[in-house]
Amino acid sequence: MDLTDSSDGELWIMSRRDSRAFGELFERHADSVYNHCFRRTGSWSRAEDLVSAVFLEAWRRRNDVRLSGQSILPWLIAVSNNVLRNESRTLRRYEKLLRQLPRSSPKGDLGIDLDGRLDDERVMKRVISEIKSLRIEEQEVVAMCDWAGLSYNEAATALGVPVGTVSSRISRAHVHLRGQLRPEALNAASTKDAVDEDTGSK
Amino acid sequence: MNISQDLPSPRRVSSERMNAARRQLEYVISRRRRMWRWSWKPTLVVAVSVSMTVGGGIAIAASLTKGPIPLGSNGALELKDAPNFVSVVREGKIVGYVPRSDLIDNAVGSEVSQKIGAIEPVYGSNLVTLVGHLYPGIGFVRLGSSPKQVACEPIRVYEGSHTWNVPCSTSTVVVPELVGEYTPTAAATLSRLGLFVRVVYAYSKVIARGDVITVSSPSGTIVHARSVEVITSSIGPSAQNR
Repeated sequence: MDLTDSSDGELWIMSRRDSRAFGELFERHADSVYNHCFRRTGSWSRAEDLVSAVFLEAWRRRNDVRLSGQSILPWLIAVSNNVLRNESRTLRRYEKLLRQLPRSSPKGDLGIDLDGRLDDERVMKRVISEIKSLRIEEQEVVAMCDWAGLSYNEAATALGVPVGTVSSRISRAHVHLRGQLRPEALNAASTKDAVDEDTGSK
Repeated sequence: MNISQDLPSPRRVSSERMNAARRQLEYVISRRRRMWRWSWKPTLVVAVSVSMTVGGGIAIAASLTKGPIPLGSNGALELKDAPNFVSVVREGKIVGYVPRSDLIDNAVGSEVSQKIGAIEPVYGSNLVTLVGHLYPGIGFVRLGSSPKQVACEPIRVYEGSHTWNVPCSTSTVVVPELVGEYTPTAAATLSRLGLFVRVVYAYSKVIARGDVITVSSPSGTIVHARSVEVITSSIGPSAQNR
């Protein structure tokens, strides 16, 4: 059976017998988890370590999985949030494994890539400092819905909370950040809130 | 600043790291799965063994017989037909069962149990669970209770058409002279007095085979009812002395 044609749900079930299925899930969602971890930490190198840790943690908590439709990504993002909350403890748990992974050695123009990564990190750290004033739950839903592109339903399923809770957390976060948002972004956020209240999704 | 629009562009995990991480993840979860199976194997073996042992025990227990010792046509106890577990009755109710092997001597030709007077285990109706013990002179004592706390219960003994009560241990009896008596007769005499009897055998040039050589308490002594008297019965002279 071709694993690339299988849905996340099928791969997740298969992964209990076939480790390659879990590898396929990793390949499918590693980039999304990587970027989510970067947006929460502001560091590409920490995000690299966290990706593997998130998948290992997901495997450890495989009995708690909550699939949203056929995608496992929302749940992986929720696991990422937990890993980020207990980052040092989780990394310590998987330290031995993570040490064996190669460090990033980008091919091509190392200087340009390094500059780009450093620029990204500077920008991201500034953004993170802006949202630090939010409660952690609000930061998480902003990262899940506004940045990772999950719908409110997907975020709610992954977090195990009602859609209304996600919606209200997002609204509170937007109101809190209103002073820091540009007018066009503010309008976009308000429009999105209105749509979500009607449909429960983005 | 727009926290959504000013985000840096997404990047991809480097292919080198992606491949290494994927290989490692697959290795880790396959190894853990093997470990999981390993760790369960001995447990499974133990569980199956325990099940077979318990199940086997129950199956064996189910094939065993239990009940009272049957009476023969002359009203005497038919020890050779005793069930595997003999029922123990207290206040008119069966409280458990004593293994026949613990209660009755299987020696050929023995008419009186040599084991009467010992403390015997009493099992529940499943013939596996220990529920108490039979104490000489006291009777059934439930597990967890002290024999001293059990009130004496008079025992009614039937022998053919004769019935008599065995007095409690507060009563005393005088041991009669029994040396030279036929052993079954001597045992019956002591039983009627409310004593438990145990018979052992010894060679004797003087006392005829089957007669009493001696009794553990000398004749004329006062003993508590329900105590155990040991009768030494003659089996005749030894081969060297014949």
